[in-house]
Amino acid sequence: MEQFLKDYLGDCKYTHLSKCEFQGSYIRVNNPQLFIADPGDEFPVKIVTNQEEYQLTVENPNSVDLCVVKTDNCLFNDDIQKSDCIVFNDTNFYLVEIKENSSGNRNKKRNKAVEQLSSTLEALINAGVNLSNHDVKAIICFSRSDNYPIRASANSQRANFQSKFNASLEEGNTIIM
Amino acid sequence: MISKLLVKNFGPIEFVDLDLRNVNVFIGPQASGKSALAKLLTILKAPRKFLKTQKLGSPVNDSKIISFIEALEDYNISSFLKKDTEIIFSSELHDVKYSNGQLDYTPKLLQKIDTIEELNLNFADNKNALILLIKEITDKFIFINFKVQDILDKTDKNTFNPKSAQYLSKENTAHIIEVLRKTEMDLSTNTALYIPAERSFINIIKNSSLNLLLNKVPIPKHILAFGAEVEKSVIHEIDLSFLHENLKYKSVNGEDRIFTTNEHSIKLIEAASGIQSVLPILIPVLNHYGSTGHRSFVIEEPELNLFPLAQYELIKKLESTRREAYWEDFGSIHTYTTHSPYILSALNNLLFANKVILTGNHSLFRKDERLSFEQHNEIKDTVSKIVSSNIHPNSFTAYQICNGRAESILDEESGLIKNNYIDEASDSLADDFDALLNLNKQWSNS
Repeated sequence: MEQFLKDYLGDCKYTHLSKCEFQGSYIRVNNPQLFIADPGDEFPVKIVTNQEEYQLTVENPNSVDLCVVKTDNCLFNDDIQKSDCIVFNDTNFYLVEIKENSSGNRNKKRNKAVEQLSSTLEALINAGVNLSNHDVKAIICFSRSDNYPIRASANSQRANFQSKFNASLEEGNTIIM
Repeated sequence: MISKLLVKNFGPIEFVDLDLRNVNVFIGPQASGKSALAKLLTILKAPRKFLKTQKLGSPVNDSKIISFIEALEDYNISSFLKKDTEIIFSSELHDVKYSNGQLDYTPKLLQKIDTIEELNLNFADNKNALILLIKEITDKFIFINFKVQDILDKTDKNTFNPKSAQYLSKENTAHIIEVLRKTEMDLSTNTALYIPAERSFINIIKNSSLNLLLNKVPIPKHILAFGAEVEKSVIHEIDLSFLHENLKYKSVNGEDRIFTTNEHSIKLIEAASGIQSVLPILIPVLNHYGSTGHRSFVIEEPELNLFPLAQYELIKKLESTRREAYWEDFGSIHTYTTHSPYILSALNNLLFANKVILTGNHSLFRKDERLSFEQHNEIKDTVSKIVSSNIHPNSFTAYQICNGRAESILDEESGLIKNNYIDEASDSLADDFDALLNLNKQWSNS
């Protein structure tokens, strides 16, 4: 899949400006647990230690090879609305949009995240990326997830993702590979 | 069935233009005007109820306005009228327009019936025109259609058709006119029922009505009218197991009782508030389900006093007993006003159930299979094991009313409910919890 994505979408579009520890868009890891942070301010996501501030935990209990793709401000250039990162292995393909929720406006941020995840999936499909052999999930990551009370529109958005992209739309801050 | 309601400058409403179908939902904050719209809809759906003292076809006059204002008073919304209020209701049956302090009532079906009567005076010359007019009506009114067919050709149990049209005579046209007038009168007068939020009150006043009358206790007329409707019902038993196992309502010798087991029962007024709130909804709705004809039920806040799952079960029960109003004289219309995320999500589940049934049908088409009746039923049964009812998005509208305006919250593309005030409210709660967590973190680390 990594080669496939590189063929269709290339690599980091900001290499000349990058101050990232990992220069490319694709980070290969097999740690049993990963912590991902979105630094904001037009920087791409980065892998951090659990002593630092992070929003997303990736559980990889079997320590399989997986790839974290920095998408926003890295793989994609600014004219495409996109999610923050993709985490995939041979069977799972998870797109993640991280939203900081300490400043409120969760509803607006969720709807924005749905748009970003949707347009990232559209961009991948339009680029010819074949996701049919993967379990595809689009994940909205708030640092504190909250699924109560029920929201009709959130269910509608899940139904739309399933019918448009054959992908599950979820909300959470931990993904299990 | 489609009707339209346009309201300008009425109470908190500045301007709304609603396209209404067989299931309608109004949401919005307190005092946004959603109940006022629902009450207007009830009044205008059956305008002859308040215009019954009027001579039809008479020119616009003061008494028409007075009776309209009285109808608004009955529903406690007369003070919402302003100098520049404009209200327009339009349906296949009639149009009502209130503007510049004047009320115009155009009974469209009645006008057609009058034309038929006029043409029948010279039947021989007008037979073709009469057939065309009768066809125009029978295409939209199915029970009228059956009755017309029965008058013309008792041997053919079909609907009105070119063959039966040939049997039209001056005499049976007169008979048809009689049927038309009776149906039209009933549809224009008795089709709408407002089920108020105060519905459980009628259980309490039922046995003290004489005392209340004697002491001239001012009870809003629409609540009394609703109570009278419930009393007229012929429903004697309702399964309430969706609220609690084995729960049943029975009318025993005119007394309303709730049975918790076959042997043990209590008076309705002693029962839980949820039961007292649900029964006045179910009684008129189920009463109509067992009869023919058309009815429009406006149900104010169906969620009252109900546990979330019971709200869901109530919506499923109500929608599974709703027959689609494909024709103007058949089935029922449900209009809900709600503040509940559970009611909204319940309706969304029913919309999605319909969509899943269609997906199931299409999946068989894709396999180049001809979809048999049995296969279609199998798909429906599989879905109904999860959700016992479904709603076609073409029969559904949902509006949020706020700041004097109405906005559709039905996503046209997906046929599902999109982002709305109720869902935003859920997120506001989460926002506050997040803010508290931040403070807690900040202070515990300082």
